Amino acid sequence: MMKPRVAFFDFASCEGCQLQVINLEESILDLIDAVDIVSFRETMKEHSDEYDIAFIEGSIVRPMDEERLKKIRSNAKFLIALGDCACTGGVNKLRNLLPVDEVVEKAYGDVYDNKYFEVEPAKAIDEVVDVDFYIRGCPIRKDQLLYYVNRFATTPPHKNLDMRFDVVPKEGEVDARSIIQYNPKKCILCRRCHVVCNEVLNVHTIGISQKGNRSIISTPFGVGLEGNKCIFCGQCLVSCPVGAFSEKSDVNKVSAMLKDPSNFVVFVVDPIAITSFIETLPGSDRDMGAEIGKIITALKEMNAKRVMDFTPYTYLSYAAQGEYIRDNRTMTFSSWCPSVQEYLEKFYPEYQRYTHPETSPANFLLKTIKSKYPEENLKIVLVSPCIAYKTSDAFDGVLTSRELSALFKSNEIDLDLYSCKKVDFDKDIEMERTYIRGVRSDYSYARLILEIAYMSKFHNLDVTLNVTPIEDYVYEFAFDSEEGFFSALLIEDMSKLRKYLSKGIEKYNLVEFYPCLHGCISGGGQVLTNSLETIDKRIAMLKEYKGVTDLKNDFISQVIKAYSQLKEVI
Amino acid sequence: MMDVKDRYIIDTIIEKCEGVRDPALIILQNVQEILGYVGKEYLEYVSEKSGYPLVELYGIITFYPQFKLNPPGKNTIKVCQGTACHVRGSDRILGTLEELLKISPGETTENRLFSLESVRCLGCCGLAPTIMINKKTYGRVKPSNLKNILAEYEEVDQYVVE
Repeated sequence: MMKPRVAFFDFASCEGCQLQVINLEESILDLIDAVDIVSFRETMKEHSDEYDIAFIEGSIVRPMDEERLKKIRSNAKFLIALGDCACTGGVNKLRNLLPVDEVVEKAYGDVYDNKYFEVEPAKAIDEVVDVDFYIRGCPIRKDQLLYYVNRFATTPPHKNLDMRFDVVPKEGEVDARSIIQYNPKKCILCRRCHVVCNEVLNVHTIGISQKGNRSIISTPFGVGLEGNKCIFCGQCLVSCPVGAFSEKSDVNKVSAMLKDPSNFVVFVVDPIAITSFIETLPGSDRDMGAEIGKIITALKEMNAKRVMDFTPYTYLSYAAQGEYIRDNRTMTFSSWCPSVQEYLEKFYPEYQRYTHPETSPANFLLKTIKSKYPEENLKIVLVSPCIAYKTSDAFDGVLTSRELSALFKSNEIDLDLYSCKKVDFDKDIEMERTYIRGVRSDYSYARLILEIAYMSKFHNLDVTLNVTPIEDYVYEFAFDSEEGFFSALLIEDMSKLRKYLSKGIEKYNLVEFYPCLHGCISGGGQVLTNSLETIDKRIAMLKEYKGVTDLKNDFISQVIKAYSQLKEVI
Repeated sequence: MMDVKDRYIIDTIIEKCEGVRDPALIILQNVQEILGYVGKEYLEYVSEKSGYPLVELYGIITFYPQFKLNPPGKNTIKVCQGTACHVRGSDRILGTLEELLKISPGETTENRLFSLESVRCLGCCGLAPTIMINKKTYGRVKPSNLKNILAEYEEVDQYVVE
């Protein structure tokens, strides 16, 4: 049998991967034994166009490279991308961040009148021609190359296969003790979660321990999250790029619940979770109203008796807090975020007396639904962007946006088969649906609560609310009038709370802070949130769905009215 | 368990490190040297006093092999796993010791008499396979000798070799 003929070619690269071939030392004899090298510019003068296997190093940066590569492709039976530059474009692609002209100007200055400088944006090999195999790495691993060559010399493998070589998965069991679970086998030790937990949030719960290939993310002494200072914000989970963290799944529990016809299952869906749920669906440009309609139809088909909107309960919570502020002179912390409650309990127990969990949306939700549906087998399932609700056993099931799509998948439901007919949530409370939540304090909950407090005291809102940015991520709200005695502080960066606590935070009526970037929109139950763009997209979706209205007198009086009605019921 | 003396020692160590840039490692090394190991209580106390988050200190002590999380035994047995000892069967020495003491490397017997460690090279390859107990080196060790060697360190009624 004839030995396979092999040629090596290079494009824009450091040629280090070819150097790895030369550095094979005594194993190079094996290589020469197995194949005939017919072209290898780095080592030999001879060249031939007769070859079976072409190894390509480097990325494509000029039109003339493309021509050359196409010619190589037509000559070779197999084309193998060698190293990261060839496989992905590698370092060369960094310059695609700038326009080509600017790059050329920067690199070559005045001498730019040469045909060799006619460059285009850098490309990986497979953006130009078909690639049969990829050998990744910067540089490649020698033994991987040898493995390939030997494999070709003996049995030619199947085409179009990305063969990864001999990666030994890390040992370790999934840590499933807590609502946030960690799988060391998936973890790539990028330390994003470590940075979020320690440097952004100052919670200091998880960090890297051990070393080398035994490194894992763990709590001190591996005691599990409950025994630690974890506040269950789930930011480690949403910042993980590989899904090494996951939530304790309620999918099977909820599926079983739905299959039992004696259960009266009420779903409460937070539209914020749906903004992220839509990201799990194929395609883009989806209308949120239509998707929510499909979700409601699908859930009802699966035997859910009611599907409600979570938002009105949050409004009720704000009304309750507003009235509390009106009637009490003491400071109060925002009550809607379960992680905030956890944080104050674990870090500042002396401030815990300023929290009022009884005014939380979850509390109103449970009370209202339980009073409206006295059925024996009432089961309340919450679909929420917040993973911290899973720590409470008040709900019969808490689904994150990821779990909602898992629920549909495990019940073999394809939402795209449903009609786009708009179906609205079941309503127990009459309330306008409006978007009142913006980033960067333009409409924070704290602001709304102050307005509710003011309105319920003076029955009008003909007064300006002053918004003063104190520093980055910190805002102060106060009424500018003779009676203006309500003020609030919004801290969007939780690590700054300590500073304000020591500076007499008691002077404010209300202090709002939260661990998640821009609030619930990037909560721990959302799918991977790694950019502000994603967040902006979700907010835009939410705005379009809810419709943006200014906080008018009548909206706030509506909220106050609904709250006083509800007080009579429960 | 921590007592007043331990607290005083740690307080003094942290006090001495004032003005040192990033003293975490130095504090932990001193704790290890004076108290013999860096246990959970010690670490929590260091964290409380120095302001370093516990998770960071835990990361440090699990990174460097010099730190011991559990109190070491009265006698430390180091079993060489270097090349020369390896070819002369040090894995059998280690295996026999594990069997005799019922612990793995890095652990301490229940009665705190022995801790077992595997080390790279003791620098006496000519005597391979070698073990070292405290400061005394034993060369050309055979698995059958180990019982007798251990017996030298056993206190009456504290440790019974089966």
